[in-house]
Amino acid sequence: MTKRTLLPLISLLLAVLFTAGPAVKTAFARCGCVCAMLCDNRCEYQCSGCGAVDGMDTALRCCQQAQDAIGDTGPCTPENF
Amino acid sequence: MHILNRRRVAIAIGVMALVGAVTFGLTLKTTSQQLHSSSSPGTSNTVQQIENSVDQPMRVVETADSPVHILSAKVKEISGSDFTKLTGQKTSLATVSSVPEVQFLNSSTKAITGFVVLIRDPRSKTSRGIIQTKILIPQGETYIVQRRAFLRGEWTSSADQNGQVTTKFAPRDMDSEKYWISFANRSELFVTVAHVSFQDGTTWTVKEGGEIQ
Repeated sequence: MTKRTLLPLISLLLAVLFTAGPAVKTAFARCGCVCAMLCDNRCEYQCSGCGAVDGMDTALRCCQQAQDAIGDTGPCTPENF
Repeated sequence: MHILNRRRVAIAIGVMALVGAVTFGLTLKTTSQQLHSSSSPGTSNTVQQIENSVDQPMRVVETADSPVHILSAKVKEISGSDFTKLTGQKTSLATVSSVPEVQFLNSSTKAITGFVVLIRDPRSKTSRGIIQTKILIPQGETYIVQRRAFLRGEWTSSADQNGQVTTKFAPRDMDSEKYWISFANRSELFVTVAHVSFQDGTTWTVKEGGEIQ
Protein backbone atom coordinates (compact mmCIF):
# COMPACT_ATOMS: atom_id res chain seq x y z
CA MET A 1 0.00 0.00 0.00
CA THR A 2 1.49 3.31 -1.06
CA LYS A 3 1.46 6.48 0.93
CA ARG A 4 -0.95 8.01 -1.57
CA THR A 5 -3.60 5.39 -0.81
CA LEU A 6 -2.74 5.19 2.90
CA LEU A 7 -3.26 8.88 3.54
CA PRO A 8 -6.95 9.07 2.47
CA LEU A 9 -7.64 5.85 4.37
CA ILE A 10 -6.17 7.22 7.60
CA SER A 11 -8.09 10.48 7.11
CA LEU A 12 -11.33 8.60 6.56
CA LEU A 13 -10.76 6.42 9.61
CA LEU A 14 -10.05 9.43 11.81
CA ALA A 15 -13.10 11.30 10.53
CA VAL A 16 -15.36 8.30 11.16
CA LEU A 17 -13.96 7.74 14.64
CA PHE A 18 -14.31 11.36 15.71
CA THR A 19 -17.74 12.03 14.26
CA ALA A 20 -19.43 8.68 14.92
CA GLY A 21 -18.30 8.32 18.53
CA PRO A 22 -21.63 9.19 20.21
CA ALA A 23 -23.66 7.17 17.70
CA VAL A 24 -21.59 4.06 18.37
CA LYS A 25 -22.24 4.50 22.05
CA THR A 26 -25.99 4.61 21.42
CA ALA A 27 -25.95 1.63 19.06
CA PHE A 28 -24.40 -0.59 21.70
CA ALA A 29 -26.57 0.65 24.57
CA ARG A 30 -27.86 -2.21 26.74
CA CYS A 31 -31.04 -2.47 28.76
CA GLY A 32 -30.98 0.10 31.51
CA CYS A 33 -33.47 1.95 33.69
CA VAL A 34 -33.51 5.16 35.66
CA CYS A 35 -35.98 5.33 38.53
CA ALA A 36 -37.03 7.81 41.18
CA MET A 37 -39.19 7.42 44.26
CA LEU A 38 -41.91 10.07 43.98
CA CYS A 39 -43.12 9.23 47.47
CA ASP A 40 -43.20 6.22 49.74
CA ASN A 41 -45.59 4.17 47.61
CA ARG A 42 -44.92 5.35 44.08
CA CYS A 43 -41.87 5.09 41.86
CA GLU A 44 -41.42 6.52 38.39
CA TYR A 45 -39.09 4.92 35.86
CA GLN A 46 -37.80 5.02 32.31
CA CYS A 47 -36.04 2.14 30.58
CA SER A 48 -34.11 2.04 27.31
CA GLY A 49 -33.06 -0.94 25.24
CA CYS A 50 -35.25 -3.35 27.24
CA GLY A 51 -38.11 -5.67 26.45
CA ALA A 52 -41.42 -4.56 27.94
CA VAL A 53 -41.36 -7.09 30.79
CA ASP A 54 -37.58 -7.18 31.23
CA GLY A 55 -37.58 -3.42 31.61
CA MET A 56 -40.36 -3.54 34.16
CA ASP A 57 -38.55 -6.21 36.18
CA THR A 58 -35.38 -4.12 36.09
CA ALA A 59 -37.39 -1.06 37.13
CA LEU A 60 -39.00 -2.96 40.03
CA ARG A 61 -35.53 -3.83 41.34
CA CYS A 62 -34.38 -0.25 40.72
CA CYS A 63 -37.31 1.15 42.71
CA GLN A 64 -36.81 -1.34 45.55
CA GLN A 65 -33.18 -0.32 45.87
CA ALA A 66 -34.11 3.35 45.69
CA GLN A 67 -36.63 2.92 48.48
CA ASP A 68 -34.15 0.97 50.59
CA ALA A 69 -31.65 3.79 50.13
CA ILE A 70 -34.07 6.63 50.88
CA GLY A 71 -36.14 5.03 53.61
CA ASP A 72 -39.72 5.80 54.53
CA THR A 73 -40.73 9.19 53.13
CA GLY A 74 -44.48 8.88 53.74
CA PRO A 75 -47.22 8.04 51.27
CA CYS A 76 -48.18 10.23 48.34
CA THR A 77 -50.42 13.08 49.40
CA PRO A 78 -53.77 13.76 47.73
CA GLU A 79 -52.20 16.78 46.01
CA ASN A 80 -49.99 14.64 43.83
CA PHE A 81 -52.36 11.77 43.22
CA MET B 1 12.45 13.57 -0.85
CA HIS B 2 11.52 11.05 1.86
CA ILE B 3 11.64 13.72 4.56
CA LEU B 4 9.40 15.96 2.49
CA ASN B 5 6.81 13.18 2.03
CA ARG B 6 6.86 12.30 5.72
CA ARG B 7 6.29 15.92 6.59
CA ARG B 8 3.34 16.08 4.19
CA VAL B 9 1.84 12.93 5.68
CA ALA B 10 2.32 14.26 9.21
CA ILE B 11 0.72 17.61 8.32
CA ALA B 12 -2.21 15.90 6.59
CA ILE B 13 -2.85 13.62 9.57
CA GLY B 14 -2.57 16.55 11.93
CA VAL B 15 -5.06 18.60 9.94
CA MET B 16 -7.52 15.72 9.75
CA ALA B 17 -7.19 15.03 13.46
CA LEU B 18 -7.85 18.70 14.18
CA VAL B 19 -10.89 18.76 11.89
CA GLY B 20 -12.17 15.56 13.46
CA ALA B 21 -11.66 16.85 16.98
CA VAL B 22 -13.46 20.10 16.19
CA THR B 23 -16.33 18.19 14.58
CA PHE B 24 -16.54 15.86 17.60
CA GLY B 25 -16.55 18.81 19.96
CA LEU B 26 -19.32 20.52 18.02
CA THR B 27 -21.35 17.29 17.95
CA LEU B 28 -21.12 16.93 21.71
CA LYS B 29 -21.98 20.57 22.25
CA THR B 30 -25.02 20.25 19.99
CA THR B 31 -26.16 17.04 21.66
CA SER B 32 -25.94 18.35 25.18
CA GLN B 33 -27.19 21.81 24.42
CA GLN B 34 -30.32 22.70 26.32
CA LEU B 35 -32.22 25.83 25.74
CA HIS B 36 -33.02 27.89 28.75
CA SER B 37 -36.60 27.80 29.81
CA SER B 38 -38.57 30.76 28.69
CA SER B 39 -40.50 32.62 31.29
CA SER B 40 -42.15 34.91 28.80
CA PRO B 41 -45.74 35.98 29.35
CA GLY B 42 -46.66 33.72 26.45
CA THR B 43 -45.86 30.65 28.53
CA SER B 44 -48.83 31.03 30.84
CA ASN B 45 -51.05 31.51 27.78
CA THR B 46 -49.62 28.30 26.33
CA VAL B 47 -50.36 26.42 29.56
CA GLN B 48 -53.91 27.72 29.56
CA GLN B 49 -54.39 26.75 25.92
CA ILE B 50 -53.12 23.24 26.62
CA GLU B 51 -55.37 22.84 29.64
CA ASN B 52 -58.34 23.90 27.51
CA SER B 53 -57.37 21.66 24.61
CA VAL B 54 -59.21 18.43 23.89
CA ASP B 55 -57.72 15.27 25.35
CA GLN B 56 -56.32 12.83 22.81
CA PRO B 57 -56.57 9.06 23.19
CA MET B 58 -53.49 6.95 23.72
CA ARG B 59 -53.54 3.44 22.28
CA VAL B 60 -54.42 0.84 24.90
CA VAL B 61 -53.07 -2.70 24.76
CA GLU B 62 -54.50 -5.38 27.03
CA THR B 63 -54.14 -9.12 27.12
CA ALA B 64 -57.13 -11.43 27.60
CA ASP B 65 -55.97 -12.54 31.06
CA SER B 66 -55.51 -9.03 32.41
CA PRO B 67 -57.13 -8.53 35.84
CA VAL B 68 -57.85 -4.89 34.99
CA HIS B 69 -59.65 -3.25 32.12
CA ILE B 70 -58.46 0.17 30.97
CA LEU B 71 -61.51 2.35 30.40
CA SER B 72 -59.63 5.35 29.04
CA ALA B 73 -56.12 6.68 28.48
CA LYS B 74 -56.04 10.37 27.62
CA VAL B 75 -53.14 12.67 26.87
CA LYS B 76 -52.58 16.30 26.00
CA GLU B 77 -50.67 16.91 22.80
CA ILE B 78 -48.54 19.92 21.91
CA SER B 79 -46.20 20.98 19.13
CA GLY B 80 -42.48 20.46 19.44
CA SER B 81 -41.97 24.22 19.62
CA ASP B 82 -44.46 24.55 22.49
CA PHE B 83 -42.65 21.72 24.27
CA THR B 84 -39.41 23.68 23.96
CA LYS B 85 -41.11 26.87 25.09
CA LEU B 86 -42.53 25.18 28.18
CA THR B 87 -39.68 22.96 29.29
CA GLY B 88 -36.58 24.49 27.74
CA GLN B 89 -35.75 21.10 26.21
CA LYS B 90 -35.20 20.45 22.53
CA THR B 91 -37.05 17.71 20.66
CA SER B 92 -37.01 16.32 17.15
CA LEU B 93 -40.69 15.37 17.41
CA ALA B 94 -43.26 17.44 15.54
CA THR B 95 -45.78 16.82 18.33
CA VAL B 96 -45.20 15.73 21.90
CA SER B 97 -47.80 14.03 24.06
CA SER B 98 -48.15 14.22 27.79
CA VAL B 99 -48.12 11.33 30.20
CA PRO B 100 -51.58 9.78 30.17
CA GLU B 101 -54.46 9.99 32.56
CA VAL B 102 -55.46 6.34 32.86
CA GLN B 103 -58.76 5.09 34.22
CA PHE B 104 -59.06 1.37 34.79
CA LEU B 105 -61.47 -1.10 36.33
CA ASN B 106 -60.49 -3.85 38.70
CA SER B 107 -62.15 -6.62 36.73
CA SER B 108 -60.59 -9.39 38.82
CA THR B 109 -62.17 -11.24 41.72
CA LYS B 110 -59.67 -9.86 44.25
CA ALA B 111 -58.70 -6.53 45.76
CA ILE B 112 -55.69 -4.87 44.14
CA THR B 113 -52.91 -3.41 46.32
CA GLY B 114 -50.42 -2.39 43.65
CA PHE B 115 -49.91 -2.02 39.91
CA VAL B 116 -47.52 -0.90 37.19
CA VAL B 117 -48.68 1.44 34.42
CA LEU B 118 -46.43 1.05 31.40
CA ILE B 119 -46.11 3.41 28.44
CA ARG B 120 -44.04 1.94 25.66
CA ASP B 121 -42.57 2.61 22.25
CA PRO B 122 -41.78 -0.87 20.87
CA ARG B 123 -39.71 0.50 17.99
CA SER B 124 -37.12 2.23 20.18
CA LYS B 125 -37.59 -0.26 23.05
CA THR B 126 -38.15 2.64 25.41
CA SER B 127 -40.59 2.43 28.29
CA ARG B 128 -41.81 4.76 30.93
CA GLY B 129 -44.03 3.91 33.85
CA ILE B 130 -45.02 4.19 37.45
CA ILE B 131 -44.98 1.50 40.08
CA GLN B 132 -47.74 2.06 42.62
CA THR B 133 -47.86 0.14 45.88
CA LYS B 134 -49.75 0.29 49.21
CA ILE B 135 -53.16 1.12 47.81
CA LEU B 136 -56.49 -0.69 47.87
CA ILE B 137 -58.76 -1.03 44.84
CA PRO B 138 -61.66 -3.32 45.72
CA GLN B 139 -63.08 -5.75 43.18
CA GLY B 140 -65.27 -4.02 40.61
CA GLU B 141 -64.04 -0.49 41.44
CA THR B 142 -62.39 1.97 39.10
CA TYR B 143 -59.17 3.87 39.72
CA ILE B 144 -57.77 6.93 37.98
CA VAL B 145 -54.04 7.49 37.59
CA GLN B 146 -53.70 11.25 37.24
CA ARG B 147 -51.05 12.80 35.00
CA ARG B 148 -49.40 14.41 38.00
CA ALA B 149 -48.87 10.92 39.43
CA PHE B 150 -45.89 10.69 37.06
CA LEU B 151 -44.26 13.79 38.53
CA ARG B 152 -42.43 14.54 41.71
CA GLY B 153 -43.85 17.43 43.65
CA GLU B 154 -41.87 19.94 45.61
CA TRP B 155 -42.22 21.07 49.20
CA THR B 156 -41.69 24.79 49.32
CA SER B 157 -41.44 26.98 52.40
CA SER B 158 -41.77 30.71 52.75
CA ALA B 159 -41.03 32.89 55.77
CA ASP B 160 -42.39 36.36 56.57
CA GLN B 161 -40.89 39.15 58.70
CA ASN B 162 -42.49 37.76 61.88
CA GLY B 163 -40.75 34.45 61.40
CA GLN B 164 -43.96 32.74 60.33
CA VAL B 165 -42.99 29.88 58.08
CA THR B 166 -45.51 28.41 55.68
CA THR B 167 -44.77 25.11 54.01
CA LYS B 168 -46.82 23.73 51.20
CA PHE B 169 -46.61 20.98 48.62
CA ALA B 170 -46.57 22.19 45.04
CA PRO B 171 -46.96 19.54 42.37
CA ARG B 172 -44.95 20.13 39.24
CA ASP B 173 -46.89 20.44 36.03
CA MET B 174 -46.62 21.13 32.31
CA ASP B 175 -43.37 23.08 32.61
CA SER B 176 -41.66 19.91 33.76
CA GLU B 177 -40.24 17.74 30.98
CA LYS B 178 -41.43 14.77 33.06
CA TYR B 179 -44.98 15.76 32.18
CA TRP B 180 -44.22 14.95 28.55
CA ILE B 181 -43.16 11.85 26.67
CA SER B 182 -40.32 13.02 24.53
CA PHE B 183 -39.02 9.73 23.12
CA ALA B 184 -41.83 8.94 20.64
CA ASN B 185 -44.96 10.23 18.96
CA ARG B 186 -48.35 9.34 20.37
CA SER B 187 -49.01 7.12 17.33
CA GLU B 188 -46.01 4.98 18.25
CA LEU B 189 -46.91 4.56 21.91
CA PHE B 190 -49.19 2.27 23.80
CA VAL B 191 -50.22 2.09 27.43
CA THR B 192 -50.98 -0.99 29.47
CA VAL B 193 -51.22 -2.16 33.07
CA ALA B 194 -48.33 -4.56 33.09
CA HIS B 195 -48.26 -5.86 36.65
CA VAL B 196 -50.81 -6.19 39.45
CA SER B 197 -50.39 -7.17 43.11
CA PHE B 198 -53.37 -8.54 45.00
CA GLN B 199 -54.33 -8.33 48.65
CA ASP B 200 -53.92 -12.10 49.04
CA GLY B 201 -50.23 -11.81 48.16
CA THR B 202 -50.48 -13.14 44.60
CA THR B 203 -49.34 -11.17 41.56
CA TRP B 204 -50.06 -11.03 37.84
CA THR B 205 -47.59 -9.90 35.16
CA VAL B 206 -48.36 -9.33 31.51
CA LYS B 207 -46.77 -11.79 29.10
CA GLU B 208 -44.58 -10.45 26.33
CA GLY B 209 -45.82 -11.23 22.83
CA GLY B 210 -48.35 -10.00 20.31
CA GLU B 211 -48.70 -6.26 20.74
CA ILE B 212 -46.75 -6.32 24.00
CA GLN B 213 -43.27 -6.01 22.57
